[in-house]
Amino acid sequence: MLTPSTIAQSLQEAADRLEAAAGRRHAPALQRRRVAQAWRIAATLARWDAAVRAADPGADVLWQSAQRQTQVLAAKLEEFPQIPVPAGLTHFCRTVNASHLTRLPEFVGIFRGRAERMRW
Amino acid sequence: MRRTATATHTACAAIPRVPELAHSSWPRRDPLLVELLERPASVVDVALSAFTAVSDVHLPGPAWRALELVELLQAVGRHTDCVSLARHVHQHLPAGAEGAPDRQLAEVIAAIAQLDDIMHGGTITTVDAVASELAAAETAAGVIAAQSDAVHPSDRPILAGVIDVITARTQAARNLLAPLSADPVHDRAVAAGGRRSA
Repeated sequence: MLTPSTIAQSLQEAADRLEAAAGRRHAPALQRRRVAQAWRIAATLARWDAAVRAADPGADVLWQSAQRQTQVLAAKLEEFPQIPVPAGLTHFCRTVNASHLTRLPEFVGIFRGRAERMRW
Repeated sequence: MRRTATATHTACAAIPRVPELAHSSWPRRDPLLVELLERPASVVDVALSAFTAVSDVHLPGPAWRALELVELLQAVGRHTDCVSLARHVHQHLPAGAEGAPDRQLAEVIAAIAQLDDIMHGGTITTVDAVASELAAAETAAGVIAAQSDAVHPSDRPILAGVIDVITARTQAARNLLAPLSADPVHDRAVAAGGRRSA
């Protein structure tokens, strides 16, 4: 049983490691960097979860940060149409960016369903 | 020069069959492979047999070259075919001590491809559901990491990159699938325990 903070830290480490090893050229390198960025967003969401649990007044900033990071990633996904994007990654971006979310309940859905939405 | 997708695929399958060229272009000096890695979408519908034929040119070694096309298949999300191709290469590497390092490399590529295939494929929601695939990938990566000193120095950075990518993927999978504590009191106790033991 892991805490959100533990998950956040480990996902951040995995993202850093993947990006460092991603390489600089060709589609696979770009795809790995996209995945690393998605893991970073998931780490931010996990930090947000931890902050909400702790009634931290700064929690909103983390939520907004995750959404902004997701908007940037979604824009980057469209930059190179010749490089395929996993369906799970597109779905993840769409879900996190959904404007109708009222945050906590939907976030719990996003986060608990993260395995289904982040299949890569 | 601009090629049609079909011409590119045909060339991909045909050019590397010239045996004397097969060992001369690692790493990434094969312009056709480079082009396909830049624009992988064009190979979405190419039959697996075409990839297998190209890999066969490089067998019984070097395994690096034979396994390159796994990365190309991975780039277009053909994870089941990645597993098939990695296992095909593994089966055609030399037996005994001579082929052991190459077989271990093929094993680790097959293991991570298997994990990717399951993660992309559908309904996995817990770590337990992929426990054996995670363990296989981590074990195979550990084996080649332990033997990296025996690898030619020029290949070590490539090997280290492969190991890092696999380690990152398994680490992320474990966390994305981990059961999540729903108890803030438990969270605080765990955090306090961590601080005490640090």
